[in-house]
Amino acid sequence: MTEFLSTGSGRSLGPQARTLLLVWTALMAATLLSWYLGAGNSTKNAAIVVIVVGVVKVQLIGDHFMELRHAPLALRLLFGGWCLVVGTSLTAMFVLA
Amino acid sequence: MNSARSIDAFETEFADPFGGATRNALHGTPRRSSSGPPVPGEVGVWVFVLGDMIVFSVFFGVFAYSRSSQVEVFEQARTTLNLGLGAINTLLLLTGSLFVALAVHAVRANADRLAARLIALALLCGTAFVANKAIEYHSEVSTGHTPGTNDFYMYYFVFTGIHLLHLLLGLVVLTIMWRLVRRRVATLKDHATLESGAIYWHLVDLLWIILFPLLYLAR
Repeated sequence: MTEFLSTGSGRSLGPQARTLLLVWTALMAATLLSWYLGAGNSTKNAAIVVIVVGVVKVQLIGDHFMELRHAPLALRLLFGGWCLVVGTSLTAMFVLA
Repeated sequence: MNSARSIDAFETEFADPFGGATRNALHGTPRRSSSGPPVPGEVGVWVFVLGDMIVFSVFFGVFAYSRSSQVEVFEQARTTLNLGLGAINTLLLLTGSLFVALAVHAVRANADRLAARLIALALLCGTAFVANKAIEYHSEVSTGHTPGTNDFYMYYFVFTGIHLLHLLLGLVVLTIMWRLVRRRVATLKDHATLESGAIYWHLVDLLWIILFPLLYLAR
């Protein structure tokens, strides 16, 4: 992968690319975990975990892939607020259902 | 003093370790507000992205609300979905997003050939998603599950269908990005366009990231 990411001038894309690869690995692992938890005769607790994991994944995508980490605070708050509201309300609706 | 520091931060963030004076001069053109960090991409794309996220959050809420009064029906229908295809599609979108995020960095590092290759790989991931979805829809319909079967399938087809439209538009966006990068003379305006296109592609990814557990996983 590192070789593939060579820019052609004999240098790789550097630490930012490494961070993206790490984030991607975490996202893939979280997906496999959710897949495992949601399969077959799943439980309500598993449902809470997969919803929370989903929202955390969205925040990771925002921060790293969409580069919100370096964005104005207002934009970060809007995005983070969405994650918080969606995460808590969906969890509540599944718990109470 | 403050603005001088933010300019420094900007230069550090976008400094091109490989490029010559031209690219640095391009990056020196202000694409920042007078204070604070710049908005990734263009402001317009964020208006669209956040608006779309709000629309989808309403979809999620409607689904969960409707589910609360017919849990058994929804749960029975959920277990008929092909979890494997849904999960593979999630992995495909995440991988496509990685390729696009790397492509943005590659363009900044003047590595346009690499960027083109990465965008082409993302296109491949997106196309595989569409193929998977076609298989999935076909198998649902052929086993008698249609939007008319019950509320669960109605929401399943409508929400994944609207998401699929987003994804198809995303494939067009990626193709435009690919053509831009292939020209190999990306201007500063092109950089903002590429970043905006990338942000849209990540939107397609993140909406699926919530749809997948909601429809396929959560009991």
